[in-house]
Amino acid sequence: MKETLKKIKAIALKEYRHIMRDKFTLAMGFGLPLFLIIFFGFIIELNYDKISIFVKDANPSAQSRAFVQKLSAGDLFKPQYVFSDDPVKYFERNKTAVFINIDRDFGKTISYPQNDKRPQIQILLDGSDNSKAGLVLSYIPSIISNTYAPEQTYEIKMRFIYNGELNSKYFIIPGLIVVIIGLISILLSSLTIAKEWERGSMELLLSTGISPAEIILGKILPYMVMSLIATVVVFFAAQIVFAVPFTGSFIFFFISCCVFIAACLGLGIFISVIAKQQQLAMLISMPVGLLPSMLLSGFVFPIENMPLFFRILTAVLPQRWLMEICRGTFLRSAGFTDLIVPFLALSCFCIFIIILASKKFKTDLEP
Amino acid sequence: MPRFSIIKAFFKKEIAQTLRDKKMIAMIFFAPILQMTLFGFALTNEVKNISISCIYSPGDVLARTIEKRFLESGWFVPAESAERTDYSKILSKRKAEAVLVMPSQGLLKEIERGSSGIQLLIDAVNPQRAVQIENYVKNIMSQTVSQELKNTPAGLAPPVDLNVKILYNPSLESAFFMIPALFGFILCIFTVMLTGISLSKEKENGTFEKLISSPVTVWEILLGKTFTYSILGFIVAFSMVIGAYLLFGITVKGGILKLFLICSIFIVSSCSVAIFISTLAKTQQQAMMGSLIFLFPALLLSGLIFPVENIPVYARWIAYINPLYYLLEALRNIVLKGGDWIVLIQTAVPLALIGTALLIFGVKKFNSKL
Amino acid sequence: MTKILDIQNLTVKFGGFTAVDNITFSVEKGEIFGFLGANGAGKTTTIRALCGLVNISSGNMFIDGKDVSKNTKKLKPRIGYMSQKFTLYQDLTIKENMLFSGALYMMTEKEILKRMKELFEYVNFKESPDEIVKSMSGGSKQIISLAASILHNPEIVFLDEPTAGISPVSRKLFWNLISKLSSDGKTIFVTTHYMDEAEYCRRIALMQNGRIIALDSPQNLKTASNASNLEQAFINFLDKK
Repeated sequence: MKETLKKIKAIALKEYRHIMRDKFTLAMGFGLPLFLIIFFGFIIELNYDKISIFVKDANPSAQSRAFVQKLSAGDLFKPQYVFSDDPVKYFERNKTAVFINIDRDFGKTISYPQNDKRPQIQILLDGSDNSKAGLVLSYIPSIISNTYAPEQTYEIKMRFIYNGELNSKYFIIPGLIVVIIGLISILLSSLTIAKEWERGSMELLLSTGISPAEIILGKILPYMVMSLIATVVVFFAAQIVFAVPFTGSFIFFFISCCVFIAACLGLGIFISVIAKQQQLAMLISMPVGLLPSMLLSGFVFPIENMPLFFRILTAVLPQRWLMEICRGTFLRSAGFTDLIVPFLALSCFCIFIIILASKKFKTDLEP
Repeated sequence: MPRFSIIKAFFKKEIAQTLRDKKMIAMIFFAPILQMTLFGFALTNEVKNISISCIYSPGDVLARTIEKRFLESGWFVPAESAERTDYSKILSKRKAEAVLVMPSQGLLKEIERGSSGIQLLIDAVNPQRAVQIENYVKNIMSQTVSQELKNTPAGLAPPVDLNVKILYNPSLESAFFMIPALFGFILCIFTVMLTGISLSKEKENGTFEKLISSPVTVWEILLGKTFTYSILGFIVAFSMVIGAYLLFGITVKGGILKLFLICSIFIVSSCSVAIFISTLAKTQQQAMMGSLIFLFPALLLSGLIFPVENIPVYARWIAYINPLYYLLEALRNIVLKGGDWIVLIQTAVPLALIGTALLIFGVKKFNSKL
Repeated sequence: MTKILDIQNLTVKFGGFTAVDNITFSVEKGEIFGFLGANGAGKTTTIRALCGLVNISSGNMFIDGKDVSKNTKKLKPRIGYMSQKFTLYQDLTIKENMLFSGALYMMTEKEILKRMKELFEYVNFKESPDEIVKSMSGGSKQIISLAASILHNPEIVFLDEPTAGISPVSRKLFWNLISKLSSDGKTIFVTTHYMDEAEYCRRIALMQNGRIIALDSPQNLKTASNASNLEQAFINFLDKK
C-alpha cells in the first residue's frame, strides 16, 4: 500500500513537472475555461428579442391597428407592415418567419358581428425553425384575446420558481461550467498515455513493474488539481461577473465536481489507452467529448424530450449528471438528499471508467 | 501556378495513408452517419413532455376537464399528484415542472365571483421553456372555459377566427430543423480535424522537412491537402444525405446540385481554417487544441443551439465570421425551402470570402523554412 | 576540378544563438566531402542552409556558381537531401513512398518505377516494394530513404548522419552505395560520427561550436597532427583549440 502510494506520487510529480513546463497546457487548463465562460456568458442569450413579423393589412382599421399595437408592446415582437400578398417569397429569402394577414373586412366584422362572416386573422409560419414557430404560436392567441375579448373574469397568479426574473444567464452559465470543464478535462488527459506510447517512454515505465492503475491514478492527480482550480475560478466568475445566485451546498457542489473531473479524466485516459496513437485519440475524443456534451447532456435540449432509449443512453454521460447537480445547487437550493441519484450515478461512472481503463491497459509491448 | 501532377501525387498519398488504417475508415465513414442518426432521433427543441400536476377538489368538473385538455394537447404529461398543502415539494423534487392549483371551493364558483384564487407555479430554470409553458396553460384554460361556459361572461366565444398555416414543416418536426444543422456540424468537425491533424503530423514526424526540400511550392502542398480532404468531406456529406433520406425521410427540396455547391464552398473554407490552425501549431496536440478553440464557438454560435439573432448587437460580428453559421442558413433554406438564389448568394459569398482570406493568410504564414 | 559548392563567410543565427559562425569552404565536383563534429556543432544547420531550408544571417552560398538564396527554387531539383530524421511515411509502402517523392520532382510513374528498380538492384536490396515501411529494419529504412532522395538523379546529395543507429553490415552496404554514386560523378556531402566512415571521404571538415577547425584529406589531417589514426588526430585538433 505504502509502495503504491509512493509510485503514484512519483508519476504525479513527473506529470506535474510536464504540465508546469508546458505553457500551452497551462494556458489551456487555466485560461481557456475562464475565457470561454465569460465570452459565452455575455454572448449567449436564450430569450428571443424582437422577432420580426410581417403584417399585411389590406384595409387598416382602428381595430386591426390595435392588434398590431399589442404585438409590438413588449420587446418580443417587431411587427412591420408590408404590402405584398406573397409570404412565400419572404420565407424563401429568410426575411421573416412570421407573416400575419389581416382580413380585408376585419374592421367591419369585428365591430358589427355578423353570423355569416366572422373577423379573420391568418398566420403563416415558417416551420423550418420549429422552436421559434412554436414560441410564436403559443403567444399569438393570448395576444388576440387580450386585444378583443372582454376582460377575463378570472386571473391566474403566476409564480416562476427558482428563476423568478426569467434570466436566461442563470440557465446557461451553470450549464456552460459543466460543458467546458468536462471538455477540457477529457482533452487534456486523452493524449497523455498515447504520447508516452508514441515516444517510447512507456516501455521504461512498464519495465519498473508499476501497475496500470498506479500509472492512471498518478496521471489523473495533477490534472485533477489543475481542473479543480479552474472550476473554482470559473465558479467565482459566474458569481461575480454574471451574478448567478448559488443557493445550494457549496461543499456538495465541490465534491461532485471532484468526482466529475475524475470521471472525465478517466474517460480521456480510457480513450488514450485504446487509441495508443495521438491522431486516433484526437479523432475519437473530439466527437466523444464535444458533440454529446453539448447536445445530449441536457445543456440546452431537454433530456425529458428524448425518446426513452436515448434517455437511458444519456446515463453514460458524466456531463448529464453534473448538469443536474450544477443547476440544482445553483438555482434550486438542492442538497445531497435531493441529488443523491445524480451523485451516485456520477460516482459509479467514475469508478467504472477508471477500472475499465486499467483493465484495457496493455502491459506488453506487442503492437 | 500549382501543378496538377503534384496535387494528384498528394491525393494518392493522403488517400493511401487514410485508408490503410481500419479505425480511421470507421471514423470517417461510419461515425458521421452514426452521429447524425443518434442526435437526429434524440434531439428535439420543441417544448413538450411538460409534466404538470393539477390540484383541485374532487367535485370540480371544470377543473377536471381542463386537466383532460392539457393531456390531450400533446404538450403535457401527467405528473405525480400532490397534496394541496405541500405542492411546492413536487417541484423541488423535480417530479413536476408545473403545478396548477385550483381554488378549493371549485373553479366555477371562483370564476363567477371574479376573484383570483388560481395559482400556476412553473420551474423557471430554463426561462424560455417556462414562458412557453405559461402560454400553453393560459391558452388551453381560456379555450376550455369559453367552450364549457358558453353563456357566462367569462365564456364568450373568442371574437376572432385564427387561421394558422405552417409552411415547410407543418407538424413542426424537430428533425427537419436538426438534421440539416447536424449535417453541417459533422461535416465541419471532420474536415477541420482531418486536415489539421494531417498537416501537423507531417511537421511532428519530420516528413515536412522532406516536402520543403523538394521543389514544390507552399500552394501546392496546401492545395494538395485541401483537395484530398475536400473529396473525403464530400463522401462524408453524400453518405449523410442518403442517411437523412433513408432514416428520416428528408429530401433536399432545392436539389442535390445546390446542396453540393454550398457544401463545396464550405468544405474549402473549413479546410482553410484547419490550414490556418496548423500553421500556428507545432505539434498534433496543439493542432487539436487549436481546432477545439475554433470548433467550440463555431458550433455554439451556429444557430442550432442558440438563435444567432439573440446575440447582443455588439458581439454579433462573431457569428458573422463563423463559416458554420452561413452553411446552416444555406442548408436549411436548400433542404426545406428549395434554395432561393438570393439566399444562396448571401451565404456563399461570405463563406468564400472567409475561406479565401484564411487560405491566403495561411499560405503567407506557412513557413517554407524550418 | 570545378567547385560545385562554394560557401563564403556563412553565418546562421537563431535568436541570440549562433549555430554556424562565419565558415568558408568549397566542395569539388564528384568528391565525397565529410563533415564531422559533436552534436550541436552546426553540421545539420549548414546542410539545411545549403538546401534553402533555413534563413541565413550573413554570407554567401553558391551551388554551381548560382547564389542559393536567390535561386532556391531552381536549385532544388539539382540537389538531394536526406535528413537525419526518418522522413518517409511509415504508414505507406516502399512503392507508394517512392511514387510520392518522385512526383514532387515531376517524374512520371514509369520513370520512378524504373529508377527505383535500378537503384535497388544497384545495392542488391531485396525487400518487396509493397512492404509497409513501418515494419522494416533500420538499415533497410535508411537505404529506402537514400533511394528516395536520389530518385530524381540530383548532382549533389546531402546526407545528414545517414548511418546513425544501423548495424555494421548495413553501414558497409550503405557506403558501397555512396562510393558508387561518387564514381558516377555525383558530389556527396555527408555528416557522420563514425571515424571509420570518415576514411571513405576525400576531404573532411571538422566542426566545433559553429566553426571549421580543420579541413583536409584524412591522410593530411593525420600527418599534420602527428597521429596514427583519425580519432587521435581529431582529439589533437580539439585540444589545440
